[in-house]
Amino acid sequence: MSTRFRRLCFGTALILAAACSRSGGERAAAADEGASAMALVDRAVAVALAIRTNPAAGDSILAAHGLTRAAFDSLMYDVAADSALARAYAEAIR
Amino acid sequence: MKRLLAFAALVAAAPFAQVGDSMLTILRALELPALVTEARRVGVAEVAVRDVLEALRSRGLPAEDAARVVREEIDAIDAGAPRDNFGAFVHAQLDAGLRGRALAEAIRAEHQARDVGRPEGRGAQGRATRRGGSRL
Repeated sequence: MSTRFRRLCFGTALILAAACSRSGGERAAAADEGASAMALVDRAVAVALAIRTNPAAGDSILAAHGLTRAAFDSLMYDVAADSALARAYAEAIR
Repeated sequence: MKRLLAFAALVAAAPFAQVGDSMLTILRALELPALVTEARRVGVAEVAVRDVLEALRSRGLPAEDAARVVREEIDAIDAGAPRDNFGAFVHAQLDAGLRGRALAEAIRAEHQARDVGRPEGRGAQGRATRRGGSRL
């Protein structure tokens, strides 16, 4: 199974799980949360892969993704703090 | 474990000849989520993981420092250290003012003081330590 497919499945499951565990108007908000979480991982993975390819351009890559060093640190902490997100990140960059 | 080692190898394979200390901090920080995933896998409690991350973050430590701390804990557990003292010890060291490499070294020293990883590079459970193998 490709990494992209696994990530797609993970993202879909995350969104569905968040949406199904609530009712009414909360579902839309939960789905938004799931999509937002996946966007966080996608952003972190994109930065990681780009920097791994060209580490000398690290600061430029961060800037291209709209990240300062502080924002980058915050992104890494955010992903690490959530077990599902951290696992998705680890899978995507391996 | 294999995944983490594979990622560490990929990071280590990056063309470091072009990379200064500044970029190394970014590369180390990029390992944080994978290291935390590994810490969870080897048995560090979720509450301890979150507590330590929050403690480090709230004190303004960069993600690179968090990666060092988590790596030390994983190495110690691999060498047979107990899994139940991570959060309390990190808090104590942070309160004492330790940061960065000094903080990571304090964690290592604490485990060594408990005789973890010895003798002959093996821990209480008889597993070889991998200290130094993939460090950046």
